[in-house]
Amino acid sequence: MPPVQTVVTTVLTEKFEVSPESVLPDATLESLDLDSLALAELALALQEELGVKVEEHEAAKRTTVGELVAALHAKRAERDSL
Amino acid sequence: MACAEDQLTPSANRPAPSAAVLDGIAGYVPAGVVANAGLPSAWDVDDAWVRRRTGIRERRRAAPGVSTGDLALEAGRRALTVAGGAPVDTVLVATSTPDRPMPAMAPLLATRLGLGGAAAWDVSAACSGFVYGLATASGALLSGCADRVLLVAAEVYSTLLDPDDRSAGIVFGDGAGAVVLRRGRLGEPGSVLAFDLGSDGSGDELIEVSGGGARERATPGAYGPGDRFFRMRGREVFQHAVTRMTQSSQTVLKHAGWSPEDVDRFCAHQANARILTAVGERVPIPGPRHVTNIERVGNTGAASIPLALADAASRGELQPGERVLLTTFGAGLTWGSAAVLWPELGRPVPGIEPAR
Repeated sequence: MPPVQTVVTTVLTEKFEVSPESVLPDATLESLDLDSLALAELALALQEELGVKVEEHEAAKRTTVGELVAALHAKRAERDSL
Repeated sequence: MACAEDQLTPSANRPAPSAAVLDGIAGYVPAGVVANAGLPSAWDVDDAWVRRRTGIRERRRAAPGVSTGDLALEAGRRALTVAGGAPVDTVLVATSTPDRPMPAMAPLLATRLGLGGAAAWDVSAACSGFVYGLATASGALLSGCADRVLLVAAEVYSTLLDPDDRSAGIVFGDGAGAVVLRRGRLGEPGSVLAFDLGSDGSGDELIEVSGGGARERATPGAYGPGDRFFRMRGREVFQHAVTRMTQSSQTVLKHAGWSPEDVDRFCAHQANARILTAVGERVPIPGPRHVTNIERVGNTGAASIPLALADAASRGELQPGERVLLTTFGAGLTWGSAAVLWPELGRPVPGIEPAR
């Protein structure tokens, strides 16, 4: 499976037309022009790609790319250790 | 629930099995247009924001005093004219915005259409009402309990919206769509080939009008006036809607023996343009094959699928025999899909606008 960071970057750039250079660890999802519906779709797309449930607070307006990647990484590690 | 799966390959010696067949279709929207620029200033929205978020440019609003039954009457009358032929013996209405809690809408509609005496009842499945109604009509026709059915889906959503609820207010509109169905042969133009229907009551509070029913009457102190309005938890609904419509579409394609490439036209419940895009990407069926009119009429609840189909048919955009996939999602939660061959209609489908 590709690393979480790669999946997040790919989904943001290909699905939400975010420019690759703005996908920085400190960038909030809001600053990448994702409104609340886009956040819902982002969570769904990441669930489909990574096979882990993405909770509302894990992909919120003020969530940074770094926080999102860390949360997903932890979830996937937890799932794979079962 | 799956139907008709094993009936799709008739043997050479037997005639094709029976199926419900579309014989007429029409839509109707009230004249009042509310463009994005005309939305309440308190909502603090502009045209670009609403279009980006929903794909909606304008929606229709019924004038004061105009009810769901009035829209249903005009759509039903038009569909019967397109169908011509024998009178219908069964009238079904699908709506979330009935004129009264009791009685059902269908008996009075039948009488107003000059069809008094017809079997008449309502189908309650929120935005899934048209597809559920189609399944109900198919069952009535195939059991021999009906010979000819009028199915009308109509909504006056504007009466159910909280004036302070911007997210619902920008999306919903008023309108009606109707079809006439007869019993015919599986595989002929107009035949309904397969269904997939489902529900999940654990999501009952994601889209609801919590008050106004027996619960409120049994515990009046627990409810306020705001509970008579429509409420929707948008983010969760978005995810459920995309997932369920995608899965249900894929299931009905299997039942019909179609691949996504076989689908000529795809008409999903016109909930929100971004939901339609997300479902289209996943089934997958590319945008040019979508039948959509949400830009001009918004989300008209149960009416949205027949209204979009009638709108497209009135412009000659649907050809007899084309493979049409319908899919929907709504409160309940409910969802459903149907595989249909577009009918050969005896008369042209009128535009959805009021007659001038």
